[in-house]
This record gives sequence, C-alpha cells and structure tokens, in this order.
Amino acid sequence: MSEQSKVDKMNLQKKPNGEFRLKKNDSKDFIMTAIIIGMILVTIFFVFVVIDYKWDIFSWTFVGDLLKEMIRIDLVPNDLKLEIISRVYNTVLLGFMTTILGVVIALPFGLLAARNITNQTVSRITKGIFAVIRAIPTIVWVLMFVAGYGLTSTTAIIGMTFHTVSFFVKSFSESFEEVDPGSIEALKATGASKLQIITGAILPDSYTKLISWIATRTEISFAVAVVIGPAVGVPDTIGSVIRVFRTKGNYNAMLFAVLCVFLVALLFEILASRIKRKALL
Amino acid sequence: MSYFRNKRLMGLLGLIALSLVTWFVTVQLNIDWLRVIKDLPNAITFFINDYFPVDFSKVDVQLLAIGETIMIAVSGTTTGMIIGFFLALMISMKTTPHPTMRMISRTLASILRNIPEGVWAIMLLVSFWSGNFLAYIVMSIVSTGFLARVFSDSIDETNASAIEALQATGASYWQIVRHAVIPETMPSLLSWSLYSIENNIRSSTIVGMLAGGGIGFYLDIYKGYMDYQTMSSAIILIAILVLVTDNVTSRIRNKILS
Repeated sequence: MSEQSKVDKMNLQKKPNGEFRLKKNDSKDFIMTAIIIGMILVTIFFVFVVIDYKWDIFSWTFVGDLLKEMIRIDLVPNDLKLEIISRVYNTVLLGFMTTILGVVIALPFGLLAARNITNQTVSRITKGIFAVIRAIPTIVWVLMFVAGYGLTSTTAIIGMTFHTVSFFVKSFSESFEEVDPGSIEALKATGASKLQIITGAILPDSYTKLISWIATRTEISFAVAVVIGPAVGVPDTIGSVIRVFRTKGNYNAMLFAVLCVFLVALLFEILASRIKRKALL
Repeated sequence: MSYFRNKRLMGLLGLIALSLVTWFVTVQLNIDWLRVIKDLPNAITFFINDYFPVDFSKVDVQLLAIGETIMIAVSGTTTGMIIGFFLALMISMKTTPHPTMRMISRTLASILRNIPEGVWAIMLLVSFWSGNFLAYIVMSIVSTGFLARVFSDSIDETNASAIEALQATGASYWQIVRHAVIPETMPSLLSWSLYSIENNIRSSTIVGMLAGGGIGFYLDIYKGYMDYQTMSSAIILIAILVLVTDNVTSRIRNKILS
C-alpha cells in the first residue's frame, strides 16, 4: 500500500512542510457552529430590535409590593384553600381521562401505523394523518369543539384527546416497530393469525416501552389540562381559577394555587421518571 | 396452561381497573358521554359552518406574526440554552462545584420547569405588559427549566475519562468545562435545544393567547370577535409551521448525531 493511500485511510492530512495532521470531521462542527451563531443572532435581533419594550411601565417598587402581598399565603381563608385543592384535583382527573381515552383510541391506530404489522402504504397514510393532527395545537382543537359542545370539561377532554391520540400513535407505532422481528417470524412459522401475533409477540415485547410513554404523557396531560382552562375559558379547572385570582387582584390565593400546581406537577415528574427508569431496566 | 390463565387474569384485572377509573372520573367531572356521541353531527356542522370557507385575506399580518412566533421560540431557547447550561453544570454530579449549589440549582430548575407555561404567563402578566417581551420571558423560563434537566442528564452520561484526564493535568474548572464537557456533550445539547424550539413553537399558541405576542395573540383576537373564518387560515399556517419545523429539526438532528 502506498503511503498516500495509508494516509487517506487514517484520516490524516499531509501538510506542505511534511507534517501529518488529523483531518477534522468538518461538516458536523460547521453545522453546529452555524446553528449556534444563527440562534444567537436571531435572539439579539429579536430582543433589541423587534421587541421595543416600554420599560416605563415596569416598576420595581410595584413588583416589591406585589411580592409582599403574594407571599402571605397564610392569609388565604381555609375554605378557599379547600376549593383550590378540589379544582387541582379536578384538573388531575381531566388529565387522567384524556390519557386513558388516548391510549384506548391510539392502540388500534398505533398497530395500523406500525410498518412491521401492516404494510408500508397503510403505515405511511396513518402516520401522515396523525402527523397533521399533531401539528394542530391542543388549544385549537378545544376551540374548534367549543362551538358545538359549549364550554364544559367534556369539550376540553374531547379537544385534548386529539393531540393525545396522535402523540400515542406516533410513540406506540415506533415502539411496535422496534419489536424483534425474530419473535414475530417465529409465531408466523407456527401459523399464528395476525391477532395472535399481536397479543403473543408485539404487545408483550413492547409492553415496558408503552408504559413509559403513558407515564410521559400523563405528566404532559396535567400541564395541558392546567393551561387549557384559562386560554379557552373552560370553567372549574385550576388554570381558570388562577386567572380569575389575577384579574381580581387576589394575589396570595393565586400564589397558593400556583404552588399546588407546582407540587402536583413535581409529583408527576418524580413518578414518571421512576416508572421510566424501571421500564428501561 | 396456568401461565396463560395468569396473563388473561392480569389483563382482565387491568381492564376492570381502567373502567373503574373511567367511571369514577365521569361521575366526578359530570361528563355526559351520551351527549358527546349524540351531539357529534351537530358539532361537526357547527364547525364546518363557522370555520369554512377559509378567509385568507389577512394572511400577510398572520405571516408576520408567524415570523414573530419563530423568533420568540428561538430566542427563548437560546436564552434557556445559555442559562440552562450553567445550571446543568451545577446540577450534574460530575461538574458540581458544591453540594449546596447543586441543591439550589436543582430546586430552581424544577420550579421553572414544573409550573406550566400558561401559568407563568398569567402570573407575570401582573407586572409586565403583555406582548412579545412577556412571551419571550415565559419561553425563556420554560426552556431554561427543561434544558437544565436534560443538559445535566447528558453531562452525567458523558465519558468521565476526559474530565479525569484533564483534572490530572491540573486544569482549572473552566478549562475542564471548555475542553472536556462542552466538546463531549455538544451534539446532544444542540439536539435537545432543537427539541426545545419545537416545543416552544407548539406552546407559542397558548403563550400568545395568554401573554400576547406571535400568532397566538391573533388567535385570541379572532376568538374574541368570533371571526372563525380568519382564524382557520391562522390555524393552517400554524400547522404548516409545526410540520416544517419538525421536519427541519429532525434533519439537522440526524446530521448532528450521525
């Protein structure tokens, strides 16, 4: 082997003075630097040129007074506290309901979208439809159904379910596609039907992954259920209550409600990461 | 056959538990499933009458708002990336300077992340004027919390030998960060940042509705005026924006992580 071809193989570059230098993997570094510089330029342009914030509206003394008022959560009357907690509880249930509905509806579609269960065409079409559904934000789905169903928690559930279902179709079908083709092949060889393959190989093999996706979504669903209330105006969820406290100037109750939301979200996060860690092992 | 019987029993128990939870929630939240099905044709007719034909007459304003939305999402992520990286340095077991600082940064990141973006928007609206600036702050807060967590996980997962090798040469803390931590974690940091941009664009509708700024602000206005036909053109633009961003970021991610 000539010296030159050896050099090429080792990714070395011969400098004019005869020294060798390691060739860098340029394109990757270049892309990364370009993205970071681009992001920083956009930020500078946006913050200093586009925003044009009127700073005279902002006053530190006002913020200080506000914080002083907010921090007195001990002044929130007990019955109000109980009501806030019951609203948080309602919101948690709302999140649970959409997750359950989402899993039930998404399972058959997820199977339909998995390449190794159906054929390429069916999988592509199903995935495409759900990609479009996923591209429309949850809030818009809820808005669309307000006209027909009115502003109730039922409407919120229907709207939220759309996004949840498409989230699950994507993640479920990807988990199904990662199932070992050997176990499907083995069942096929014994003459098993499609349904037997699904219950005998695909579901048991992807079970832990499905559980960890469900845990992830349960966490997201709660956050979505919180913010859907104030944005659309769904009554009885904690988000709407927080917004009402703000407009009424009841700042200490607002902080208490936010604290409750934070604690529940934290609990969900801890539980979800536990479940995910267990599922991975 | 007891193995299969056990499995069937477990499946049955799971199904019963699921239906019990469903029933319980239905009672608690007063959900009328029958009405959902009965009113479905009605809802669809309402939807079609309200939202169609799509009114594209204000598309120029909406495109400008879409541009704003992109900038809000990107600058929120950039701010979150910079602050989140320093928080992650303090959170990760490998690079934390002091256990107390680790605890403080972890708590801070957890607060930023676990309060949903809409709630941040409502809370900060008390002291900030609604508009692009508030939306930018909310996005930065949420991105910082999220990125601090995933960045610290990536730092934890990196190969410790590079850090140890530099430590052995007597390198200072920032030298180690500059020459070991950043080069090792850069692809994964960037890929998570791209994910955060996607997330921000998705949540920009809600943040815009509550805090002003971007296309979400216009959605709120159309909702207020019940101008649903103009709203549907905004919805179409949002859907296209999300699909395009997902496509572009996943392409870049493939290139970076390959």
